[in-house]
Amino acid sequence: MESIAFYVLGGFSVIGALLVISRRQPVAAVMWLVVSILGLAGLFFLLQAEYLGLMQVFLYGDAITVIFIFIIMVLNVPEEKLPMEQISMGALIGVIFAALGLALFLRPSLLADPGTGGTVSEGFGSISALATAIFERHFLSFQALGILVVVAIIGVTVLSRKEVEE
Amino acid sequence: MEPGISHFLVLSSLLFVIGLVGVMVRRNVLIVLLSIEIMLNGAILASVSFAYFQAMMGAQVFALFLMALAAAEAGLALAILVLVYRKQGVVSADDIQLLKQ
Repeated sequence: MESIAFYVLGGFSVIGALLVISRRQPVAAVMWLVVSILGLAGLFFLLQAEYLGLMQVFLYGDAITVIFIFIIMVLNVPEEKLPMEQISMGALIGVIFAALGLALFLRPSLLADPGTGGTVSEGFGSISALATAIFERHFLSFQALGILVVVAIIGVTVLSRKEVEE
Repeated sequence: MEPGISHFLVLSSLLFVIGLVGVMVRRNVLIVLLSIEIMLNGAILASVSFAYFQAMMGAQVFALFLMALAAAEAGLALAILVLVYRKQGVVSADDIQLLKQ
């Protein structure tokens, strides 16, 4: 049962990702990214990460894709201005090396014993367990993350303001 | 048979490499940014699967931080893209070469 769920959800995420990088229209690519993200959210539920699965749907599936679609519509790039996609020699060599690296990384994993299910206790990955971990053990990193987000907001505001004529 | 940790790691590295190929091959900057999101998704999946199979809550906290990082990155990158499109009127990664000159 879990195996079927894993293969179906993993298939969704991989096929969605493949379609993202092969679409010409950016809006279609964003839609396939949503499919990929929803498959991953299902995998997170399978891994008992309930809160992360929810955040994957809310944060990735909603917020980030809405930002992308909004920007695509703001830019409103005409069809003839979309760049001609042709595979250059350098890109081809890069893809070959990426595939080789993947094979090298995957060989031990594919040969090894896949391992059994996790030995997690009841309530692992629930919101309260995650909150306990954040606020008891990783509080400083959480604060640092807040600073990072504030800096990003200030950066976006500074970048996108109109230049004032002197 | 239940899926073990290597199943999840294989899936996460597949996603990472698909995103990497997208970054290298595509010229439309919007699609390059989407490919970066796919790469980050692969990294998050690896972190979450380690959290489950090693029973470590810290790895899930790290995955949550990665999601916030991805949101900040998407916002900043898209702001820069809007600025570049306003100034130069191109979305092709090959035509954006102001820094080269």
